[in-house]
Amino acid sequence: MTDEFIFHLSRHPPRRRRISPTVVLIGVSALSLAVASALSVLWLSPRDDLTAAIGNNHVFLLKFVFLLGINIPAMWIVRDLSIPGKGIRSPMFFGVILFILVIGLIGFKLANGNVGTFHNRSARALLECLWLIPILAALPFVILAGALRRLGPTDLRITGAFVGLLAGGIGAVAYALHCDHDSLVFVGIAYTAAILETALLGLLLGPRLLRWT
Amino acid sequence: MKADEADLQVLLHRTFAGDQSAYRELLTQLQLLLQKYVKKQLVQAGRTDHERDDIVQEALFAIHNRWSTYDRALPLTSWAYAIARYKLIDYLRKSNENARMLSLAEIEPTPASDSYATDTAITLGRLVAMLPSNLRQSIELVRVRGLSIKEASIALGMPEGSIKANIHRGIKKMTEDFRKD
Repeated sequence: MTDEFIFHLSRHPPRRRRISPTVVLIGVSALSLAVASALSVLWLSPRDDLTAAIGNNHVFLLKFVFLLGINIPAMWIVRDLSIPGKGIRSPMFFGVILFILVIGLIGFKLANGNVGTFHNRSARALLECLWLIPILAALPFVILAGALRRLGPTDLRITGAFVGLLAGGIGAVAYALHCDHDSLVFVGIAYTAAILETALLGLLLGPRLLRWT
Repeated sequence: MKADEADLQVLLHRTFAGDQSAYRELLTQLQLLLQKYVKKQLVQAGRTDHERDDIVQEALFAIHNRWSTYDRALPLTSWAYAIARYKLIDYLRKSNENARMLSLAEIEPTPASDSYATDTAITLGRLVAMLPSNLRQSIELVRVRGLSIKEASIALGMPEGSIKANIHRGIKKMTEDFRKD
C-alpha cells in the first residue's frame, strides 16, 4: 500500500524554485498591515495632526520604531516556527528584546525630565488601547494563521502565541495612526499590554486555528 | 540499504532536478526512517504498532506537500522527523476518545543529530550533488557506496582508469567548490 502510495507521489517531484516561508511571511505581514491600517483609517479615522506628526513629532515616530522592534523579531520567530525541525533558537531572546525596548523607552522619557502623569485621560486611553488593538489585530491574525496553516508549524501553542504577538504588533501600528497619545510611558505600558493580550489569545487559539490544511 | 544524510542530500538534489526515480528512492528511504521512529513512539505511548503505516503515510504526504518549508541549512532527517512527530501527535489526539490532550513533551523529541557530523554530511552531500554526472556517479559508487573500482567500472561500463580519474577530478572539483563557498 505504502509502496503504491510512494510511487504515486514520486510521479510529481517537487520543484527547486518555491516560495520560501520568509517570502510568504513578509508578504502576508505586509498585507495584514495594509488591511489593519485601512480599517483603522476608515473606522477610527486618523489623528487630526497625522501629517504634521510624521514630519515634526519625533515621539510619534519613536512609537513606530518601538513597534518595529517588536514586529521584526516576532516575524523572524514565526518564520522559524513555521519550519519543521527548526524551532526557535532562543525563545528568551524575544522577551529580552521586548524588555529592553520598554525599559529603554521609559528610561528615555525619564532622562528627558518630564515623566508625565498617568491621569484620567491616560486611563481612558489605556482601556481603549486594550480593546481596539486586539480588534485591529483580528484580521491580521486570521490572514497570518491562514498562511501558517499551509507552512509547517509543529508546536501550535507557541506558534499561536507568536502569531498573536505579531498580529498585535501590526494592529498596534494601525492603531498608532489614530492614537494621539504620545507619552512614551503610555506607549510602553498600554501598547505592550495590548500586544501581550493578543499573544495570549494566540496561545489559546493556536492549537485550533493553526492545524495544517 | 539504509541511507545516511549525505545520501539523502544527493537524492534530494536529483529530485529537485526532476528525477522521479530519485524522488521515489528518497521517499522510500524516509519511509524506512520514519517507520522505525513512529513504531518506537507508539509502543512508548502504549499503542499497538499496527497504526504505524497510516501515520507514516500521512507524514509522507505532508512531506510531499511541504517541500517549501525545508530549509537546506537543516538536516533533511530532522525536518522529516519533526513532520512525523507532528502527524503522530495529531493522530493520537484524534484517535484518543478520552481526548486527553497530549502535549508535545509527551512524545519523545525527534532523534538528535550530531551537529558537526550532520553539517559535514550536508556539505559533502551538496558538493557531490554539484558534480557533473560522470564524476558524481564514480564517487557515489566507490566512495559513498563502498564498491571496488572494478565493480564500479562494470556498473558504469567504463574502464577502471576512467573511474580512478573521475574520482580524482571529482574530489579536486569538490575542494575547489568548497573553497568558493
